[in-house]
Amino acid sequence: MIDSPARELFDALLDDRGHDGDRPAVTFISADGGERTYTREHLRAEVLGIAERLPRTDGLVSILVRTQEEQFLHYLACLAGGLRAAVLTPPNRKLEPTYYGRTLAAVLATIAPAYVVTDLQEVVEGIDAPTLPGIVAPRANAVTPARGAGVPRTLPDEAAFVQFSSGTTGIKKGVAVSAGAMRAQLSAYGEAIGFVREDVVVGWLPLYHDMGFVTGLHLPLLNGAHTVLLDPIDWVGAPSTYLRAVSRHGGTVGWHPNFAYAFMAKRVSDQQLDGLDLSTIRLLANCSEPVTLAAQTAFADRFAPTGLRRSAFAGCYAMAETTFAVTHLSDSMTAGLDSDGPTSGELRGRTPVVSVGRSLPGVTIAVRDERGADLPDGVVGELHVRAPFLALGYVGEPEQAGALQHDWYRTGDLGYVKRGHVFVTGRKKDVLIVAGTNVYPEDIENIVSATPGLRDGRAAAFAVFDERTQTDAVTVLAEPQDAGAEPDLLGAMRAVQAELQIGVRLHLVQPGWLIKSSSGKISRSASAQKWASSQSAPVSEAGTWPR
Amino acid sequence: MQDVIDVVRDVVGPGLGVDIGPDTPLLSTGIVDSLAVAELIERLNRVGARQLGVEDLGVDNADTPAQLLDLISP
Repeated sequence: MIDSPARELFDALLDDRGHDGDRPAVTFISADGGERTYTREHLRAEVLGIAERLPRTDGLVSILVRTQEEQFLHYLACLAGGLRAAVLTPPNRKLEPTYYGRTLAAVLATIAPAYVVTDLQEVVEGIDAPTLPGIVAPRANAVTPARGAGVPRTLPDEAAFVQFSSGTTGIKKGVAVSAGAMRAQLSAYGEAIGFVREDVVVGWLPLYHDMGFVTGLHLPLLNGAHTVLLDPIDWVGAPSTYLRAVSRHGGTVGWHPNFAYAFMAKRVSDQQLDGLDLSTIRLLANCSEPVTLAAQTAFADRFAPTGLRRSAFAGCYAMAETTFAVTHLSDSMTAGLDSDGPTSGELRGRTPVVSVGRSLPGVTIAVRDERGADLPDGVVGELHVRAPFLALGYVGEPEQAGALQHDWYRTGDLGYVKRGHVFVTGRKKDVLIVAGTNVYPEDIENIVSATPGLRDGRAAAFAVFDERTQTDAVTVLAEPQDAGAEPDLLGAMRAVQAELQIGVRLHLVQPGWLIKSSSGKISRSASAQKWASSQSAPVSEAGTWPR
Repeated sequence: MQDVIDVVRDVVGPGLGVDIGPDTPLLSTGIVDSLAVAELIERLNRVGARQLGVEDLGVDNADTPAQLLDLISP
């Protein structure tokens, strides 16, 4: 018997007592619509078979495999073998190979795994790094020797696995989570949403980020429920596949970022609505970016003919550092609207503000000012969370440790509390959230500023909410080196896309147009306000140059 | 060509910051992002002689309006 936090979690997830072995545990849907279903018994046998061959280590095992099925199986196999694992993002047709290689190198350098289980050996071996961990092929037991003299990172003894938040390189952080924290999370959140064995999760979220990892794998397995998973890239190309899967499998619960609701409402044709039955859905949580009533209303209206209930929408505030959710609210479209907004503090977006819910049992959410003093109801400040399922810490990120201290997590999110409801209004730090992915504006500005013909350090990147997509779009304002310069704007946009996988709207403004703060730095907020007001003014006043 | 450019402009929406012409790179610049690709395909399929799928569009063969026109032409 293996005694470790990872095995403890495995035994909780795939306990062979109390659940019928012939019940479906997980179904994987491929791009061509093909399905493969594992019963609990089949899944357990498959996973234990893989686990037997995995080399032993106290370090972290990274899982870098192409398909969700292999990610799912190998993660569970690691747990079964008592190994602490992290699922990494595999390459896809959306990701530029050079960018992907750099990102992978940075992640591997940070988390320093003992070895990588991968069917992408050529990708791993091709990255430009002085040291590389050893490589193990899926379902194999031999380790290809590591490159260089890298030392695997030591994880906290209590760590059962490592999960990642969503973001570009530099923002994406791996956090170590204990088995106890995951079990406490699943118990508290599962109870709050009334999750039962008869529920069916249908999801397209990746397993390499916390939302898909917890809701698509841990929550259903622990409860003996059925989970149906689509590849996120397949979903982006054909969002109706998600709805068909819900209809076919009787999906009852799902989690999506805000933009996804608007995206599906817009992208599913009348023809694709034929025969859809979404009446089985009892909960649709809106997570990972600011919630808008418009996105949920668009989805509810679009799919009302399929039997979808408006009461299904649920609030959820979640992050990797708290294992997952810290709030929940049923029927958020009626029970969670604040028409007045905050009494003090900036509100990005419009009223009514949609609540992300009330704190889960055992969770305390405090709103604090810059000095750490608690703020009264209705006043915007930074959200601090105390929960019985906080992560153990960041892996290889000592400078981040301060955010997770003394049982509290300083989220960096801005929001307010009113009548027990939590409302998230934005980010304290200048972090842009684009379709659920976090990106630092300075990363964009540095790339744009490096474009020949543009002034170094004279660019400002900020978010402008896009009503069409119901998520933020990034606008960048940049000053030319001189009035005669003809900078390659498309080249700058191409560089941002290649480096960060973010499309931007890039505008030239006159030299000296951007506003500096008293410290001499470009003020993004002031420049964004000036830009917003200039957009309704005549061109000569707007300062756009050249037109 | 103008039909294709009009479709792209409509899909991308206002406020882009650059004008779209026959040779403007769309995918490699992020002007058309992964969420917009599905809409672009649907709109092109309405005006084109050939039906496209997501797998047909890549940076190498469908990055500009001119390349898109080639793809949907008979």
